[in-house]
Amino acid sequence: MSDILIIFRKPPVGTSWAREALDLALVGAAFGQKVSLLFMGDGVFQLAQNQQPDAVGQKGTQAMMQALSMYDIDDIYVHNDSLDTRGMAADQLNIDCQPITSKALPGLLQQHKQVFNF
Amino acid sequence: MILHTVNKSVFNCNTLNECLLTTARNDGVLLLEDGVYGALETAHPTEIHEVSWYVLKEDLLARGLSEGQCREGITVVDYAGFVELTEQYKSVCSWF
Amino acid sequence: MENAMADHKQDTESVTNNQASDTALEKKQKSQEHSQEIPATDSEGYLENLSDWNENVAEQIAQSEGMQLTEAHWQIIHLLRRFYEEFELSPAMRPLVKYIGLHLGKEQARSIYLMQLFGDSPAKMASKIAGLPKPTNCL
Repeated sequence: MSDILIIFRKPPVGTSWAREALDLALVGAAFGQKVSLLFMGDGVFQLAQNQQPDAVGQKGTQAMMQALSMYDIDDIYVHNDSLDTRGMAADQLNIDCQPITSKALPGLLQQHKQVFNF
Repeated sequence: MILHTVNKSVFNCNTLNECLLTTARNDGVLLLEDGVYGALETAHPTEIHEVSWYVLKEDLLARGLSEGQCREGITVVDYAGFVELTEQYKSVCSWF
Repeated sequence: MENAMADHKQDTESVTNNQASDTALEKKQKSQEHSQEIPATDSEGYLENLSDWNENVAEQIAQSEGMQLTEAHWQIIHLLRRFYEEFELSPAMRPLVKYIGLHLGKEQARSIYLMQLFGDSPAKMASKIAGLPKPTNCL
């Protein structure tokens, strides 16, 4: 049983949800917690390649996301139906993710002691 | 044994449906704030699953809704009942 | 780094020798350079503007922390800045150690080694000297 599951559900630009979720992930990992991530809903847009948030004067999370493996956060899941309905492909994301089916989602949540939603 | 709370209207937001994708048997779903609109008879969440449904009384009253307007099988709880639920379930996950 | 400093010293000396009249000015400039104040920092001593950083500033910050920087320190400081450039964040201890392992070697990729160099909170101290923000993810 892993310690923490963090669910990313908001699009990347315009709010700080993505960054805050990521901050929580890194803090948890820095404190030795086993952290997993799940991208679903509009959260999968955070995985789009070539985001240029500086075009609207914002700082994105793309670079930070590349640091996940440095923090030993390797269990990263993406909900495949969420990708499909948004016309995205699992092999064209900005980080390596494991696709997960709707059917497997409840089990994923139950495998974690604590679930955080962003 | 997770208690999920949802605070967005199902008529406007996909939040409740996303929540229901992740619920397991024995989980609970508590509708609060604008989430209480999801308790109406005409609100049909995509899947009902085998979760226990709750709706927060105070948030119903504030919106001029009565218990009688809620779907069958939904338990109305007040704030005190909400607190009891959080003790009853292993953890709480809020969807917003 | 050491070479650059040596070159600089040599330049100064040769100029001083050739143009005796400028000696005083040279000395003044040199002393100003070394007594230069640390650019604006927050209450904990982290630079407010990352662009204010240079190796000279690093020396000053280290000095104010009672540290003398050696080649071993510089290796870590430069790698830390590379981490920041790559990931846009100051690393906590664990990822820093992992990154060092990837880029420097096993010998340096140990927290005890970093503590010998930078004290009890190496990630924080090294970030401070490297002119980076305080690692938010280590308390």
